[in-house]
Formats: sequence, C-alpha cells, structure tokens
Amino acid sequence: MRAFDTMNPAAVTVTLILAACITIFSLEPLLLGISLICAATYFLMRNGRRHAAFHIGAIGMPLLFALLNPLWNQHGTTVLFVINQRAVTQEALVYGGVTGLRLAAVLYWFRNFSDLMTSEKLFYLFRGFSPKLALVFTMAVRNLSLFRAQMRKIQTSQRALGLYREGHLIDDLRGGMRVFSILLTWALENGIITANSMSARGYGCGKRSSFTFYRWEKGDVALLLTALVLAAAVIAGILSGALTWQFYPQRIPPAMTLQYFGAIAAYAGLAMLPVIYEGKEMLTWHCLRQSI
Amino acid sequence: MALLAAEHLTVTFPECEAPVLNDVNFSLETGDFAVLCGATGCGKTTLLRMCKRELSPLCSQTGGVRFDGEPLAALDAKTSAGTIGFVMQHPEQQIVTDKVWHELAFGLENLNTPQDIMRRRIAEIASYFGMEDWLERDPASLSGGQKQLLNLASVMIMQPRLLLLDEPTAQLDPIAAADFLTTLHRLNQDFSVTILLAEHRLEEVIPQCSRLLLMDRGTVVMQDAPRTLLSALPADAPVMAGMPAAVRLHHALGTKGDCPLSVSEARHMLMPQLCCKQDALPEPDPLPETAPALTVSDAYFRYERQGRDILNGLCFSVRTGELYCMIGGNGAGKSTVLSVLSGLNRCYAGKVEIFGRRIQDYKHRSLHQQCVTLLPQDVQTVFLRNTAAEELAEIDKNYETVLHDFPFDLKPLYPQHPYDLSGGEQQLLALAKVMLTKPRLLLLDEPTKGLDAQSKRRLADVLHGLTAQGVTVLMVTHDIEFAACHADRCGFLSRGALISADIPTRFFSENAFYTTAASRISRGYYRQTVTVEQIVTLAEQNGGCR
Repeated sequence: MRAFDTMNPAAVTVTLILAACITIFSLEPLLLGISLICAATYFLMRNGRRHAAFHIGAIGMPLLFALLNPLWNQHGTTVLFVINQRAVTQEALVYGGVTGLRLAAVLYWFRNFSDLMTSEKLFYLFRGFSPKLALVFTMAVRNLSLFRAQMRKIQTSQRALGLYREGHLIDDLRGGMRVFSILLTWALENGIITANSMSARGYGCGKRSSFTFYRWEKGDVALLLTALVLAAAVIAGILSGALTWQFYPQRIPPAMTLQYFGAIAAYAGLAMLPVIYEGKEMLTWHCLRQSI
Repeated sequence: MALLAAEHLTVTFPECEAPVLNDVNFSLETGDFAVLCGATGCGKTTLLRMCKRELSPLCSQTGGVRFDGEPLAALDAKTSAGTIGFVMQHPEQQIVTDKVWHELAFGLENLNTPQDIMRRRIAEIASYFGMEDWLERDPASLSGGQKQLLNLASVMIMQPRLLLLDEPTAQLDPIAAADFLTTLHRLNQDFSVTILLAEHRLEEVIPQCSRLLLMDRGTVVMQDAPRTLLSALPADAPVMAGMPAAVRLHHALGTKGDCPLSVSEARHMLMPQLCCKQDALPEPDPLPETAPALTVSDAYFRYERQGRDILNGLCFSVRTGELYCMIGGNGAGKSTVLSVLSGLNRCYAGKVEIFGRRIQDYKHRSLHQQCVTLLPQDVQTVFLRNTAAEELAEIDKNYETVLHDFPFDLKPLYPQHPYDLSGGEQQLLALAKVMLTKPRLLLLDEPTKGLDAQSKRRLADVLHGLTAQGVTVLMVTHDIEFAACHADRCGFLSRGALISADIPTRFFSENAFYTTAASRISRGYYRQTVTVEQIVTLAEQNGGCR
C-alpha cells in the first residue's frame, strides 16, 4: 500500500471531496464528530505540531456557534435562561454547536485537500478535460513569473542609469508606464522565440499525447471503488432519512435502526481512508527502519 | 549519400533586392561535426533555418535543401520535427513549460508518443545528461548553462539524426559554454549525431570539429576539414579575428607546415620554430598616477542575514581614467561588486569611496546623476522607446552634438527599434545612452557577452575613446582574452575578495590556469607575452621564424 498522497490524484480528489461533501450536507452529530476526528487526525499526521493557530480556530468553531446561535434563534421549547427578555433555548444551543462542528470538519477537509493537491496534481486533473488548455495554463503561469522577473530587472537597470529624480511622483509614474509598454514589446519578442521552439519540436503536427508520472494502478482503482461504494451507502442512508435529526421545536434523534448504524459505519470507513493509508505507511516504515 | 545537402540555394526576403543566401552549396555526411563560421549578418542563421522546415522564414527560394536524399518539403511533419533538432541562442525563451520533466516530455507529447516510451526516454535522457536531480524543478531556477543543456536534452529526447545549433553558447559564461560544447562532442562521438553548429566561440570547438564551413556575404566560400581549410585561409580574411590563438599565430608569423589548431599543437608545431634569444618585451611605461576614482576598503556584504558573505573583505581601488577589468569565476561576487558600487546594495561593513566621497553621502540619487552609471548585463533592459533616436533623446535632446565625439557612428541605427539591432549594436547604443548622462565612472557588467570578434574590437575602441576623455571604466567580465588585450589593469576576484591586481602582461603571465591561450602557448619560451600580437612583436624582434 502506498501513502495516501502518492495515490493517483483523481482517486485522492474523489475520496476527499466525497468525505467533505457528505459532511456539508449532514447534521448528524455522530457523523460530524467522526468526520472532524478523521480529518484532524490526518492533518496532524502530515503536519505534526505545526499550525497551532489553525487548530485553535477550528476547535473553537463549535463553541462559538453554540454561543452565538441562541442570540438570534428563538426556536425551541426547553428554555435554559432569559437575557434581555430573550429566551436562550437548549435546542438553539445544540443546533449552533452542531453547525459549528460541521464547519470545523469541513475546514479540516479543505485544508487537507489544498495541502495534498500541488499544482502538478491539479494540472493532471485539468488535462483530463482538455490537454491543450492545460498546456496554455502552464505556459501562462510560467510567463507571469518571467514577466515579473523582467520587470524587476528593467526597473533596477533604469534606477542605476539615474534617469529619474528621487521622490518625483510624475517621473515615477511616467517611468512606470514606459516600463510597462516596453515589457509588452519584450513579451512579443519572446513569444516569437518560444513559438519557434515549440514548432521546431513538432507542436501542432497532429494529435498530442500527454505525459504524466501518475498511473492507474490496482491500488488506485481499489481506493476509488472503496470510496465510491462507501459514499453510496452513506448517501442512501441520508436520502432515506435514517440520519435526520429534528432540532426544533424539540430535539428528536433518529431511530437507532440497523440502517442508521450501517450508514454511520460506512461514513467512518470513508473518512478513515486517508488515515488508514497514512498509518499503514508510517507503521511499515517504522518496522523497516527497525530492521536496518 | 549525404545526410544534408544544399544545392544552389538562393534565398531572397520579400521587399529586399539582394539575396540573403546566394547560391549556397554544401553537404554533410552522417556523423559529421561541422562548424559554420562567418561575421555577424553573413546569413548563418538564415542558412540554419532553411535546413529546418518549421523555422524557414517567409522568402522566395531557388535551389533547395535535401535531407537524406529527399527534398526537405517532402518530409512528413512528424519526421521533420523529430529527426532534425534545432537549438537557438536564448536559453530562457526556448523553454515552454514550468517543470523540467514536462519540458523533456514536450517534444514526445507532440509526436503522440505512448506513455511507457515517454517514461523510459525521459529517464534515459535525464541520466545521460546528469539532470535526474532537477527533474522536479522549475526551469526558471536553473542557471543559464543548465537551461541550455535542458534545451539540448529536450531536442535529443526525440532522437534526431541531425542537430542544428544557432550560437547556443553566446549567452553562457566560458565554463558553461565549454561544458555545452563538450556535451555536443560527446553526442557526436557516442551516437554519431550529425551536427551543424553556428558559433563564434571558436577557440574550443575548432580542435573538436570534423568540418569547417566558412560563410561570407550570404554564401559558403570554403568548406573542408578544419586543418586544411585554416592552412589555406588568407591571413587577412575578416574571420581571422575570431579564430583560435594558435591559428592566428600561425598566420601572423607565417610559420611553415600545417596550421596548428589547439594550444598544445601550437606549442609543439609552432614555438620551436621561433628564436628565443630575447625572451621578453621591454616593460611598458608605468601608468600615470592619477587620483583614485573609487576606493573600496574592507567591504563586507551579504544578501540575507543568515547567508554567507558575498563580498568578503574586498579591498581595491581604480584610478581616474583607467580601464579596469575585474575577472573571476561564477559566484565570485563580480556582479555584486557592481551593485554595491552603484548604490543598489549597501555593504554592512567597510568603506566605499567614490571620487573621494563616501557612497552614503551621495543623497537623493545624486550618485547616479552625472557620477556613476551601471550598464547591466542584459542591455535590453536599458531600452524603453521605439527607436534608437528616441532612446537617446529621452536623456538629452541635443544628443547629436553631445555624442559627436562618440567613437562610433550611430547615425545608421537612429531609425531602428532597439530590439531589432544586433547584440553588438545594442551594446554600443546602450553605451551611448549611458554616456549622455555624463557619468565620470562607468560600471559595465559582462559587456562582451554574445559579441563576435569584430564587435568586441569596436567596443574596445569605444571604451578607449571614453577613457581618453577622462571617464573611468570598471568592467567585470569572464572574457580573459578581452581583458588581456584591452585593459589597463586587471584584478582577480575570488570568493568575494580581490586576490591580485596588476597590468595585464604581468597579471596573466603569472597565472597558470586563469590565463589567455597566447600565454599558455608561449609559456616557457617567452616571458610576459599574453596576446598573439605580443608574441608576434617579440618574434619579429628576435628575427622572425627560423
């Protein structure tokens, strides 16, 4: 088994998006708790003790929402106390806590996603849609940084030539305009060279293939299928109403049926996929190192 | 059968009367390593481009080019792209993508190569070129030499049979250039790739090549094995200026026998023919003692607080009206010295004095107003306007009167766009623009980069003209030959400190490795001869050849 982040980016993306989306569309505290714990554990496994501020912010989210929700939400029947002639109900408090939990879990999932998906992986996903557009995209990214570098070079060299008086706003503005216009000329000049170099290497002589380091191996397919099957089970549970809580006017949890536990277990399986892959990898590595 | 052959190729650009290429005939066999030389503007680039269909300029053409017996136009698109490789001058602009592995894959992708083959080819080529460690990197983070090797590798990955190269080392420093040329030679030897290389850095490449093509005014005037061709070359041919020192010496002395091509051949074939009774030229007159234009004492500078010292106790001074060349390897801190002297960076310890005043006492950019000017390595960054004339008028409306004693006639350049000028002309126009700001101290960063022998000589004339007018010139350069021929004094910078400084004859004759070809040829026979001209003068004083 490979580490989660070395799996095929498409399988990784599908797993993470499914885990996050189910979290977004669910208000079942147990499911949200599992989601938060799994996402946070994976984040900790990858980052260790860094990003303390992010953890504090995310953990504070349920508390903050639990405190804030009763302030403008008067629904619910169990009144805890009254401030300024406004009733603070138990149901509003719990509802706020649950939404906060959901937000915290989703934050962790997205943070994991952006950590995992480097520009190369995004490019790989993108080229599935259009290889040509993907190439244009890489070239644009590259040219932007070239422009920035050239602009800095021109500005430095103009400064060293002593063409502008210090603190003279109009001089500086005029200088900026000129630098910009010559930058366009420079870009066109360079564009011709790049275009020549492209056609010299056969760009545009028929169908292109597209190289990538990522392949679909058995493990990737297995990951994708597992994620899809588990997600389908959870979604079936959600659609059938087995996971639906009623918060107002009174808190009514769903019935503890087999379907309920089945769906929760399926979600736990889905959310734990990254942790399982990472944990297995860490364990294997640890054992291997012991034997060195 | 010849792999590449041009037959009566005549090319005329639209709206031009005179042809750029006029009845060109030549042929290359498989495995040839051919060097194409000739002055700038003689049609080398056009000829190379006519051999690569995708890059052929819009023109009217008679005669034609055949590849492997077939006319170029008859090749199918994929064969033409894959079997004829082309590498251009600019390392940066030929790169298309933002990852080294993707750049390597680019050509294969265009030919619709299956994944498995691409994977293998990339691995192979990366290991052959020693670039496995950079595969994941952004090409922008590579050095110029590495970029050019990447360009070569991303052409070689398509397994071409013919490689065309248009001055690929012009923008590289000598070490990177030698590396590149060695790699080319190795490709030629290992895979018998046929190579046609246009080049003006001939010192290293002529001993390695198997054929030499000499171009003049749009036609190939001579083609033969290098030794035969160079032995027959008239001594006053314009291309002689760019030839290796051994060849120039052979012709200047009129020695008997075949022409030597390399330093060691010259030592064995040429020097024994000379009489060495008097073994040194008289000492040149000492330089006039003028006030220092610039004094640096114990300067330390680093870019980052935690980084290493780039200037490391630098001490040196430059006299007013002198042409001072600072040489040194890559990363010795040459460009940093200039950035500190031009006030772009400030050293954290030590003293920098310019015309007797500390550099921090020049307030409000007054350092740059009629005092110090820096001409950067990439002279294109100096230009902001659409014509050369506007460029000069931007600084001074009366540029024509101010520049009347500029030692080069710029008038023909006035109506042209600065980007359309040749490298040498750009350098001179930038110099003229800089001179209009009336600097007393001129700092130059690698001004001879990418210039041919003739443009270098012109640049030297201009610089001598300026020093005669009292301008002090400090240039940093990799170009040892230029420094030996034209500098008043040379300094050697190593790891941020100036190791030695002296007049060129003493400076280069005391160096054993970092020295000119002429000095290496004459070592042990003559003392203190560091240019071909000095050897010739001394030999004549000794009574010429035996």
